[in-house]
Order: sequence, then C-alpha cells, then structure tokens
Amino acid sequence: MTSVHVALAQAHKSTDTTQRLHNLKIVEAILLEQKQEVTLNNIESVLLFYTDSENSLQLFVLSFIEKLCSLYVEVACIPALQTLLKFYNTHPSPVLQKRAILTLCSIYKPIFQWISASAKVAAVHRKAWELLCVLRDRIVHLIPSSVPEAVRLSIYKYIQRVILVQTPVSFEVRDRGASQTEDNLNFNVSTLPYDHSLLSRADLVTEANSYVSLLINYLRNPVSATSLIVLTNLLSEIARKRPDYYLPRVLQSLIRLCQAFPAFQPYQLVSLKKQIKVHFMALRSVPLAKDFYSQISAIIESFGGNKAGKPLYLEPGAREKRLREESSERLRPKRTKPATTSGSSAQLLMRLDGLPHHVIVDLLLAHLARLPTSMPASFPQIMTVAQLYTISSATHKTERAFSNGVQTSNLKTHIDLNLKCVQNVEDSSGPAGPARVLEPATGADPKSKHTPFKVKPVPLKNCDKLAAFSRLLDSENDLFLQSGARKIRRALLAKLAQVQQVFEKYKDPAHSDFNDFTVLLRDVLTKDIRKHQTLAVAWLYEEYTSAMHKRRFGDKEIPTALCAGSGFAIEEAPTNSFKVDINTTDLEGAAGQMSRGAPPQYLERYLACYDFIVKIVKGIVNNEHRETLFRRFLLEVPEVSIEAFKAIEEFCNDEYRAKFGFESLYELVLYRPRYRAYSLNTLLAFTIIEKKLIRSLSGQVCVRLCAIDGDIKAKICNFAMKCLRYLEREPPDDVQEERSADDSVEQPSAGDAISTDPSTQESADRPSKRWPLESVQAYSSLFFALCMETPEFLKSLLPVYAQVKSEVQRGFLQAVTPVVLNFHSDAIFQKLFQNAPENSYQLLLFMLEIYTKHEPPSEALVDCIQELYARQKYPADILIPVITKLPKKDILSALPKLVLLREKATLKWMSYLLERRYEGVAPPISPTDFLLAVHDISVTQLTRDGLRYVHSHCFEMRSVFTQEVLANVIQRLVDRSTLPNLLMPTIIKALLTWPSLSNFVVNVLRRMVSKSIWQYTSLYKSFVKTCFKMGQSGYNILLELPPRALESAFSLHSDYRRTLAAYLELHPTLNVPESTKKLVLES
Amino acid sequence: MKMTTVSDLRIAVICSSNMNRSMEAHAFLAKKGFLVQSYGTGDKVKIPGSAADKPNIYDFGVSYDEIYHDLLNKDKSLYTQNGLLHTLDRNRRIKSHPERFQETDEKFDILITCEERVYDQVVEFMETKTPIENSIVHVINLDIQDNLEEATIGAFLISDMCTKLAQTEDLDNDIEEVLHNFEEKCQRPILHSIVFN
Repeated sequence: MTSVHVALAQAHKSTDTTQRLHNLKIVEAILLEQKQEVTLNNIESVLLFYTDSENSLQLFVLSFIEKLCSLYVEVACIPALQTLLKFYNTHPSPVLQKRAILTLCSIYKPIFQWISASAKVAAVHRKAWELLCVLRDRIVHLIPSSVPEAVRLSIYKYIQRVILVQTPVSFEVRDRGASQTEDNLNFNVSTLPYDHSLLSRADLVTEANSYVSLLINYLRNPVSATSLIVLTNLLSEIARKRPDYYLPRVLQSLIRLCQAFPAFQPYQLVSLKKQIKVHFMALRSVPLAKDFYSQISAIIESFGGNKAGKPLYLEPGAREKRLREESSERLRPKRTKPATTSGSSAQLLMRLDGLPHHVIVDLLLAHLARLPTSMPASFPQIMTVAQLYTISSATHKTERAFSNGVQTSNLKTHIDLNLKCVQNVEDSSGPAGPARVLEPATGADPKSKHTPFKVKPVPLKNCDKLAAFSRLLDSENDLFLQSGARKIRRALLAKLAQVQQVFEKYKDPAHSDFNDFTVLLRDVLTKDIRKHQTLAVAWLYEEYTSAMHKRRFGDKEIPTALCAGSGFAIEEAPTNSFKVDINTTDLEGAAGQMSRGAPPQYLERYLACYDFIVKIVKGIVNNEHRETLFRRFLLEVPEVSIEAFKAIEEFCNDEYRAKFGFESLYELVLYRPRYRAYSLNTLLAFTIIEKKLIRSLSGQVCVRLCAIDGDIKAKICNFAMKCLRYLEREPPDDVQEERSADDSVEQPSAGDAISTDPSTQESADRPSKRWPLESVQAYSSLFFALCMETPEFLKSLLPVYAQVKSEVQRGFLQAVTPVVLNFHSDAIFQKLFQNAPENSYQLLLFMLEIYTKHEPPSEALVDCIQELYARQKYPADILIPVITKLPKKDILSALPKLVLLREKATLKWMSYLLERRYEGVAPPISPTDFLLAVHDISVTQLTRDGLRYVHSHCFEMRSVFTQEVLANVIQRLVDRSTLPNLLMPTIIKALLTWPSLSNFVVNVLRRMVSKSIWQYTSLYKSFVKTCFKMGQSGYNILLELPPRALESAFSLHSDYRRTLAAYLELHPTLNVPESTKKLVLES
Repeated sequence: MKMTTVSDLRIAVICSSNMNRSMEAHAFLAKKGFLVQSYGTGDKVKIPGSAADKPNIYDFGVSYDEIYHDLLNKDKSLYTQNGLLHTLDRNRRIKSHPERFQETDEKFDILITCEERVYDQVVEFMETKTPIENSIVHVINLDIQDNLEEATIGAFLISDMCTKLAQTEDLDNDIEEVLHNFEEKCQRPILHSIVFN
C-alpha cells in the first residue's frame, strides 16, 4: 500500500513529466499485479492525471483505463467511464480524442459483459450502462460534424465494436466450436438472459441493426477513400462474424459500391478494389452468401481474381480449420537443416491421386461401416482427407492419412481378400468397371515405386452394415466436439445417403444396401430431427451437389472436385429457379399468384429430401419466436421449395404460429435475395386478409422490412398504395356488404381488378354498391401501418380520400386515428395542408382534431391554419382544432363565422374554446368575455339561429358559466350605454339556470327602467314578461315605469293590468304615482 | 547504446523472403532512426541458386549466418559475385534470422510491402486476424524489383516516404495527401489500405 501511495505522491510532486510518468507506471504495475491495492481511491488518484496538460500523461491515463477495465471491471468501470466523459468535455486534441475512442472501444465489451452477467441489477450496473450509453451517443453523433479523418475512422471502428457486442453470434458461427475466435468465445449478447432487467436483447439488436444501417449509409456517401476502405473492412468483418444478421445487407452494399465507384485517385481506386476483392473472397465461403455467388464471382473476376478459387461452401469451420492446419504446419520446428528442394517423405502405401471420387467414397464407406461407435483416433484424419481432397497440395497428406486409417481399422485385410478376386481386372475395363481400388498390382514396394493400385468396389456383404450405420447415426452427436470428428462423420453420413445413385448407375447389386441406409436416415430424422439437424442439412447439400453436377455434366464422368470432400462444394446457384418468377416491380396481383411451375428434373431428388424434412419439421414447430430449427432449413439450405413456402403460409394462417411464420418470411426476404420477391409477395398477400391479428402481424413485419432496405420499402409502399387505390373503384361482386361470412377479400389479384379495368358504364347502370367496412380495413391496413412509421406517407391518402365513397371514407377516418396519435410533432400537418385536394378537407380536419385533443398545436401550425383561413381556402371549421391557441382578437373576429357552423361543430368549438385545457397553456378567452362577445354579434337573418344556439348552449355549460360569470356579464351588459338585443334572453336564461340570481335580476330590471327599457322594442316585451314572472318585486318595478310605457306593457297581455290592479288593491299604501295608479285601476 | 528515434511510428517493411528488399529498407530506416522491423510473407526463404530452376530454399527459422555458411560452402565465388554473401553479411549484422510476418505478434502503425503479391498477402492476413489493440494500421505497397540495385533505390524511396509520414501532425489525417504527393513525385504506383491491429 505504501509503495502505491509513495509513487502517487511522487508523481504529484514531481514537475518533470518523465519522472511523473515513471512514477505512474510504477503505480500501474502494482495495481495490475496486486488486486488488494485496487481501491477506488487509488484508481481515482491515477485517473485524475487526465487533467494534466501533457499529452503523454493523458495517453497514459487512457491506456491505464484499458488495462484496468480488462482486469477489474467491477471496481474500475464507473471511475473510468466518468473520466472518459469528463475527458470529452475538455475538448481534447484529435490525437487524444482518437485514442479515447479506441479506449472506449476496448472497454465496451468487458463492461457490457459485466453488466449483462449480473443476475441482480444494482445501481452501479445501471449507472455504468447509463454512462456507456451517454458516451456511445456522444461519439456516434460526432461523425456528421467535421471531425478529423483519424477521429472519424476510430468512430467507425467503435461502432463496429458496438455492433459485434450487441448482436448474438450466428448459429453458423456458433457451430464452429473449436474454430471460434476469441471474440466469439468470450462473450456477446447471445448469453444475455432474456429476463435481464436492464438490458433487452431485442433492443440491443435493433440498436446494432441501426448502427449497421449507419455504416452502410456512410459507405454509400463516403467522405474520403480512406473512410471508404475502412468502412468496407469493418462491414466485411461484421458480415463474416454475424452472417445471419448482416451478411446479405453488407454484400448488397458492397456490390452496389462496385457498380459505381466514387471518383478517387487511381491508386486509391486500385487499393479499394483489391480490398473489396479480399472481402468478397472471404465472404463468398459463408453459406448465406450463396445467393450472391454469381455476382461476387463476376466482380472478383473483373478485379482480376480467380473465379473458380476455393469451393463456395465448406461446412462451418472448414475454412478456418484449413487455415489453422496450414499455419500449424508452418509453425512446426523451424531449426531444420538447410534444404535444397522440397519433397514429401511420406510413406506412400496407396496412390489415390486420380481415382474417381466414388472409389474413394467406397473405401471410406467400407471403413465407416466397420468402425465401432467410438471412433479410433485416426478417424478425423481420414475424414479430413476426404474434405481436403480437392486441394492438390493436400494430396500427399491424403495418402498418408488414408493409409493409416485403413490400417487402424483393419480394413486392409478385408480389402486384400476382395482384391484377390479381381486381380485380373485391368484398367481397360472402362466405364463398365469403374470401381478400381487398392493393392499394388505387382506387390512391389509402394514406397519406391508409387505404383497405382488397381481398384474394385469393396463388396460389403460380410459387414453388418446396417447395425454399424445405426450405431453411427445414433452416436452422431456424441463425439467430442473439438475433435472435428462429429462434423466429418456427418458429412460422410450425408454422402452415404446420397451416394446410392452412384451405385445404381453402375447397376452393382452389391450396393443395393445403400438404399436401406437412406431409409435408416429418414427414420432417424423422423424420430429426432432436432438432434440430427446438421446431418439433415449436410444431406441436403449432398443431394444438391449431385443434382448440380447432373445438370452440368449429364451422365458423364463425375468430376472428383465436385463430389469429393464434405459434399458442400457447390459451384454456382442455378440461374433458372423454378420457384420464384415474380416481377417484383409489379406487385399487382402478384402475391398469391406465383408461377408454380414444375421443378426442374435435376432437382427432383433434392426436393424430395427437402420436402421430407420440411414435413417433419412442420409438425414440430411451435409458436416459439426463436424457433431455430425451421429457420435453419430455410436459411441454410441451397434451395427452398414450394412445400416450405406452403408450410410458412400454413403457419401464417394459424393464429398461434403466425408470428413464427411471419418471422420466417421476414428472414427470407432479408437473407435469401433469390426468394425475396416470392417471400415478399407471400407476406403482402397476408396484409389484405380479413383476420385482423394476422393482418396486423404481417403489417408489422412489412414495417420492419421498410426500415431496413430502401428497395423493399419502395415495393411495399407501392403495393400498399395499389391496395388503397383499389378502394376507389366499385366493389367487386364478391365483396358486397351482404356477402357471406367466409367470403374473403380478393387476394392481391386486387391488382388484376385494377388492370382489367371493369366497365365503368356498366357499374353506373347498376344500383350503387357499397364497400363493407371489413374490406376497407383489409385493403387499407398495410397503408396505415406504414403511416405509423412514416407519417409523410399520409400525403398519398388525401387524393384517394377525395375519390372514394363515403363508407370508405368512414373506414379511413377510423383507421387514421392511431396514426395521428402516433405523430411526434404536428409539422406533418403543414405539409398535408399544402396542396391538399379539395374533398380531403374533412379528413384533414378530423386528423387535426384528433391530434389537438391530446397535444396543443404548435405556433407554426396555428400560423399555417390562420393563413389558410385568411386566404379563404377553408371554412371556419378549420379553426376549431386550433381555437384554443388562437389569439383572443382572432377568436373574436372569427366568432360571427363560427356561430354559422352546424350545431355539432358549434358544440365542438365551444367545448374546445371554453372547456379544453392544455397543461401550461392559458385559456385564450374567459367565459365572461366570450359571452359578452356573443352579445356583440349582430343578429341577422343569417346569424339568428346559430347565435341562438350558441347563446343557449352557454347556459348548458353550467360549470363554465357559473352564476358569478353570468352576474358579471349581465352587470356589464346593463352598464353599457346601449342595451344589446340578447340581454333579456340572457337574463331570463340566467334566472332559469340559477334561480338564486333572482334578487340580482330584480336589481338589474330596476336599472333597466332607469335605462328607459321601453325604448328597446325587442327587449321590452321580454322585460315586462320577466317582471310579471318575478312576482311582487317585478310588480314594483313595473309600477315604476312611466304611464305610457306601462300602458304599452298592458297592451301585450290583457291579464297584466288586472294583475297589477289586484296587487295595488292589496297594497294600498304603496308609493305609486297617481297617474300610474289611475292607469292601472281605471278599468 | 539506445539510438534516438526520429518518430514514434512503428514501421514494418515486408517482402517475400526477408532477405533483400525488406532488409535493405530495414537497414536504411534503422540508420535514419526509425522504429523498424522487417519480415517476409512467403512459405520459405528463397534465394537464387546455381540456376534459375535451382533456387536455395530455407525455412524461416534458419539464421542468416547459417545460410551464409551454407552458400559459402556451396559456391563461394558464385555467391560472392552475385552479391548474396554480401547481402547476408549485412543482414546478419541487423538481426539473426529471417522472420515471417504471419507469425509475429508485434503491432505496427505502418506496414510497407515491396510487391503487390506481398501486399495482398498482408492485407488478407490482417483481415482474418481478430483485432486486439483496435489501433489503425496503414498498409502501403511500393513495387520494388527483387535485385540489389532496385532494393537500394526502393530503400531510399521508402525512407523518403517514412520521413514525410513521420512529419505529419496526425498520420491518419494526412496520409492521403502525403501518399498522393509521393506517388506524383516518385512516379511509381502505390497501394494503400487500412486495417486494424
């Protein structure tokens, strides 16, 4: 402890940078070696040196962070991340900035691993993740700014790191076992528990996906040649390490780049091409790249590469294994004697070079059949031989290993016995005697002469093959993973299943048993396909390889290079796929109407095997979203059959398995470009069916696809628009409103209906047909699902809305609500209002109302609406949704127009204006001012009804127009020099609504007398009536009227005089002028 | 005695056999004070023999000294005349034996290759490696014919280029410009790529 403190103290004291650095290195060495010294205090004391102005010290701190986090992440991560964050805030120089990004790049994985491994998420984990996210966002957002090139490159690297950490390892990569790189073995998100409370696997993958899109975007718009080279490197590595997720996208973007290179210096272009060639060579050996093989090969060839090159597909890990072997060979003891020439000193017992493949297979099978369940050590070697047979450099090794293997298994004795019978068979026997193997023709020493062996098929009659095969199949997965034997045994078993045709061809009854093996294999797969899935895939590849050979060479000699080895050597994808023949640009009527021609003859056997497997897998697929079995048979196999698509369609139609079905289609669209059109069309067909759940699931998948690829998005949008426009037409006969329940909406042959152009004249003669709501929903659901993500897409809805029938419009109004509620801002409305067709006004208004129900409109939107209203483009309705944000003067000026609106609209705008309250937004007008303004509207023929309705409705809003408000209004009205026309109705309704206002009203009436109420003809009648209704207080007021006014009041109703006379007689002492008394009592 | 270095850049010069071109450049750059190493990428060390179809082939582990004595024993006059003994004598004073690039764990900032084929091998190898340091590595190719005269000229050019690269404020920022100017000046095609350590 003392030494750390002493060294730290000296580092602080020293003024010489070299000395300080020296002391800090001492501290670092102690901390890294002695765990007990790693305390928060010590760490922070070292990290504090980041504030030093010396670059060397700052660089030391960054390197210290890296080392510390790799060893003691739980203690070091928070101070390290905090230091990095503070470091960023100091705006470091580009060199330091670059170094800091690379530091973060290194510590991202250990920290992420530590957080994700924690069973219980504590505050410290949360904080670490928060800091990590903050730093990540900061760094990623640096790119668009004009950062130096070096920093930009580091950021790209950092993003790549994040992508690799946050994306699960592909099953193919995972399957490699021993060949996994350190990167994959240690950790990535695949080990993250699904129920982790802080990290969601789905979110992390989505995020990683978006970063890939970001990198691809930068690839499309490179800033410099250096950037472009780095991006191709990084993306290629991503594709190699996570092929399941990103390979097709990366390949597509690289291919696109090759089609149009940006303008750079010639040397830069040459370098770039070389780089891309290297990437393509590496990527084309990944199974998922199969669909791109022809394009990649063409590009490599155009760059001057060898098209044939290595086999397209080696079983997972084979390539790495080969590299490893080569490398280990090189690493063998170097201190050898100076050599003059190279030469193989291997003991050559047999000469296999030049033997037909089936002979080798024959030997291997014989070997295999006799092997016990527990394999001898030589087995992997022998099988490796089979795999490497295509490589000429491995020939001598093949010979050696094979001979050892044969000896180990005692096969040689067996072969010897057989050979005695055929010693006389010569090579001249030609194709009729194809199987020639073994045994030196003269018995001479093979070491010295390398004499070719004469060969014959090994009759296996004496071997208990079936028992041996059964054991082999049962123990397929039991072999030790690292030995590589499992993989090789699978490849051979697959070959065995396929090989029967070789023997059929030669009509050799000795090999009829191989048919039995196929039956055996089928049984095993039927019993437990999950356990034997890799074997099944290998079998498919064997069949496919054989089919491709047949197609290319007919019945000629089978070339060794194609058939030997793992059986995964596929030269190129068939160009005329029988399944997918859809013009993707024309989705009209596409989905559901695939051309399902007969499969080509050469694929018959392959398809039979594939369909058999699909049938088994179909039966056991559950609704697990993560079901990998079926997925594997879609993504890894060379050809996907119609049966597989039918199975997917079945899943999609089944509500319990629909999610899985759509997920399969999603992956096919993304990862199998050859089946993209077909898969996409199948998916789109489900977006217009009537089952809501299924429709919505398919819509969701479409939306996800749109977010990933621009081309796919264009196709989906195109289809959505065509479906929408279909509603502009007359509904076809089978989708009338009265149709039966099991009627289904015409499948995207909807498009056909468009293209066939039904006679409009005919439809005009018939009674008008109506679209049922379900059909409207079905045809528009995809469009609205897309709008959820891309609101701008709503622009396309407006012209359609203007054209469709009212019931379709109603359907649109229903469907648009969730879309509008999903808007993040109201900026979209400004775009929508510009150039909106005339008849779409109702839809716009509806959308605006929905939006403003929850969110106050922005200033910009209010200005836009006001401008549109001012230009008299739209009626006053348009103001309703934004009325709460209008200035008071504008509301008052618009009021005469507003009162003219329909009753329903009136209720709405009054409610918005007087009752709606947004948080933090003051009401634009008080109820008092509003009612006063209503009194100011001149009553005309036009406004009378509307005004009356508005006025009456005010008194129904008792919570707004309280008695205080009304009293205030009446008081202010009476105080005016001229009494408004609506004064008396207001007083009467106020009295009816709030009877407690009677005393106040009496006073008001009395004041009205002083205001010569009798001079207002329209008010006077109501005034008199009110007075009479008020009883004694009212009589007293009436008695205050001048005689002439009173007389005119009596003329209104004959009872008035009598009532007043009776009142005067009852109260003779009342102080009433004589003239009035006389007038009242004179009758 | 430790030499003072002119730059912190870690440089590797790579040719096929780590015998002539890379070693010439190694010697030149080391004299100038660069932190330099040299390597070969071939399977074996191949040097001219008594005839075109009879090259001398050695493993990478064999020291320059052993090769020197082997050649000395085989045909002293021939190998003195063609300069091989002189080259080997120089090489053994720089380091003990030829090294294979694919087998080293050293990290570099710049990898300079002397032949397009070697450049391809280096780039492919770096691509297949899993980066550990995550630092940027520039791979630059300058075509140099495999003979003594060209190796000397090539070493001079490499030294010139490295000096310019060392003078940049930030190599990653300025390398494009430096290489562009250098290519124009020396009139030799160059290749440039970036990988990660």
